[in-house]
Amino acid sequence: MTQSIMIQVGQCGNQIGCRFWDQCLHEHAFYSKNGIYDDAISSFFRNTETYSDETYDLPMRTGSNKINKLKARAILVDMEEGVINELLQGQLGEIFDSKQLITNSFGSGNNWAVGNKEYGTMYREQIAEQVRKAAELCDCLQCFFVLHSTGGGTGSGLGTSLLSILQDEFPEVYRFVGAVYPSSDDDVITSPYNSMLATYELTEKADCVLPINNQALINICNKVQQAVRSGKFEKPTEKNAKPFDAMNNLVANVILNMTSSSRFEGSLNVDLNEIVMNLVPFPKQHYLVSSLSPLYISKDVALPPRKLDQAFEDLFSKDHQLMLSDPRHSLYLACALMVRGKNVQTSDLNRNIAKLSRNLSFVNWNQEGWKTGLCNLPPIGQQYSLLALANNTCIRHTFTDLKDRFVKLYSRKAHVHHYEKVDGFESLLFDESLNSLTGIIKEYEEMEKTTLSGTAQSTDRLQLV
Amino acid sequence: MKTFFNDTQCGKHEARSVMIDMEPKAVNWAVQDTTGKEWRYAKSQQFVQKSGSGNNWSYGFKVHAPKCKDAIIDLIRKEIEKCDYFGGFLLLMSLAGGTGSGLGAFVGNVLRDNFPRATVLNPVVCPYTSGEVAVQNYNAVLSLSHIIAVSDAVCLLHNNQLHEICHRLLGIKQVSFHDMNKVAAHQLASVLLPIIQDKQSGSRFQNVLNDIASALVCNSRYKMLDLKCVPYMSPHTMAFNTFQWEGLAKRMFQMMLTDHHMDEGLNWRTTLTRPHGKTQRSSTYTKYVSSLLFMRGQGSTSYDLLTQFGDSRLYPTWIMPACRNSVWKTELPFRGYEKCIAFLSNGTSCVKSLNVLTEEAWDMFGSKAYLHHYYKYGLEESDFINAFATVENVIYSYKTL
Repeated sequence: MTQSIMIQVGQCGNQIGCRFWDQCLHEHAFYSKNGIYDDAISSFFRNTETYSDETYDLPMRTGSNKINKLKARAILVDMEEGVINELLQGQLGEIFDSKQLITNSFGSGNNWAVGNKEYGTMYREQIAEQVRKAAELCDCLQCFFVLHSTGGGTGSGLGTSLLSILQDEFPEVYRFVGAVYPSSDDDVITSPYNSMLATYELTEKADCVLPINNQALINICNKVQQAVRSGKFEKPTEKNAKPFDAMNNLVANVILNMTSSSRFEGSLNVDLNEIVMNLVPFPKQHYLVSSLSPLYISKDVALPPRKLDQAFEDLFSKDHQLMLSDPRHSLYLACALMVRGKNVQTSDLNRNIAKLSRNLSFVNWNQEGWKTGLCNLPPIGQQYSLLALANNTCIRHTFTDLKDRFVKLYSRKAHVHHYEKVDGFESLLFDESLNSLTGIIKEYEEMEKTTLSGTAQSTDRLQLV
Repeated sequence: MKTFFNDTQCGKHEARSVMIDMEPKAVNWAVQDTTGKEWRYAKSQQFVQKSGSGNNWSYGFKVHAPKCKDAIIDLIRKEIEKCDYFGGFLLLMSLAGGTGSGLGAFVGNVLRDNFPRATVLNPVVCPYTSGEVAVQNYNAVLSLSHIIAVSDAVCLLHNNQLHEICHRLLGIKQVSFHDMNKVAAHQLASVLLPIIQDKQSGSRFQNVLNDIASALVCNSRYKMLDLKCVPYMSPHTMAFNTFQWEGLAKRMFQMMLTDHHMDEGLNWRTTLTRPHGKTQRSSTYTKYVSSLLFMRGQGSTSYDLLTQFGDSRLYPTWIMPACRNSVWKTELPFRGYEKCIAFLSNGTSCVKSLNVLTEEAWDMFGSKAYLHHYYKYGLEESDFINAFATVENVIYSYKTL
């Protein structure tokens, strides 16, 4: 089995990461009741023992290894200590090794240049060292997950500078990024600059990006909590739940579902490398809109169960997307459908794909662009769970919004001096990022025009002489 | 028994197989599935890696394959050594993925290079046309172009057809891959289980693969085989059915004419009759290069199918009458079916599916989608063009029959 390393950068990244590790531990504890350290757990955790303050990894012997002390395969980076300290003092503190933490106390002042150029250079060696160590402890490393937000300074700047370290040191290992984009009413004034600069790096250096929007998460959480409150019996809210916890749980659920097939058994396994292969037809168009159905925040807080076919329908409605977008009315380049559940079989998948294909538009050269996966074990508290990862042209609307907000600020060169005064930053970067994003928006537009207007011409088949 | 199994000292039968996969889950599951059964897989005959091929044909063929080549040849040789009389290989793989299709194509080349005189029969699984893997058509075209060159015969099994058989004939409401695999295994077993046909020759060792290849593949331009079986029944309806050779033969003949994979939903209007001496247009019924019928069950030896299935209108004129069609019979019933017929043919059945896959793959190739994933590991544009040309050639040969 393969292993993955989680790298959480910045306040947002670490908070989401915290929820992820919590849910992940719960899931493995549920499915591995006899406490054996097996392939499934080893994908995200190491089994360790501590002798005189040094932690050693216990090798996995076939079948009979008991769990001793689990350590997460993670690297936590933040230029402010608040979030990480809170994490360490909580219940999850045990699973992190102090060496896996890279912190500072000054923060990045919501400035991408400070995060990327200043801290990027300062901490490059230290981060590279930690990544190398973590990779060495993996038998077969398949991918890195980077969690961050694009609107701030640390997550956005240092997070993207980290990508170039990963690309240089481990070019063969896939780089998946969960990037939280700011909503239009974000209170950080420079967030359009930060997001634009970050997106440029993500386009060039990530293999696959899952963009997420806070507003979409808020909408989903409200929907679920309303349904729970209006239900026949009151379900208790989790103890010590913080306001962002519910939203972050959703993101954690997406990652758990995405990796379920590489951790657990199923009749149609989908590894993370297959996701990149099937959903990224052109290197720069690797932005995947994710959606979950049925909606659940944790095992106690979820919408009431629905019929399977209805869940498939819901998966493609705009209320279930983790990005403010409506993929149904745009063009699909490819779509992955990952299903978890004991009683879902290939016939259910096929029946629903046939139904959905009638109402969704796929690009002319990929009319059957579906990638399907079936995993036997559902998430805790659910009978089944569906995840869709869509490479869809609706993302261009989000990018266009971002571009507009950026141009509004940049045309007056507002706040630009904060960036230019940082060593290593060149104002040319603003223009390059703008060009790159405009290019991507244009490519998506072109594809939409050609297919939806019906002017696509199929090339003549190879003629034999 | 000895054709496919080896006897071990502990009394269990060991399958004569080599299991190869670039990631462990499927093989582990298969091995565990044999617990409690009379047979098992030999412990040392599994070759498993950890990372998978990511549905990337190029990764399977160019990266994994050269690394695993020696280990795989070793395992194959070990298995051959256990045989008294080695007949040939059955290379089972799918066309849609990365390992089965990419590494599988490589293994086909390896078999041909290292064991030039062995017969290689290649059953391959074609994915659902509604899409299981976005790049399935690329992977299929690339694989087919290789295995067509090196295998003696390629037999296409279609997920769509297997699914329908499970759903409509076996009455399974929620069809799973397990159900479909059982049907595929049933189909393969119905033609591969040995039939001792000639008692006079006294030979108890029948080289099944060689016999099939020599009966069906007389010209290396025509190697694509198709499998049809009749009947399929769910266990509870079997008890209520009476089997008659005439009924089975009639349904199988219509399936043969209309190239339909089940005996349900048949178009009975298609016939061979020539109105007023003029020939029926060949596009209305399927044409064959050669075919093999397997009759398993009581009374098979006394029932004649040769005249019906060997009709000259179904075959091209350059095939000698004796080579058109053979019927192999055994009185032994098969898997609880009192009587059953299997039809293994070399004919235009493959054209439809090959056409669909090539068309979709070519469209995708035209827009250059996904190609960077393949080029990353050493494949080039010319490799794709060659692959397309090979498959188009096969389609053309069959279309002009």
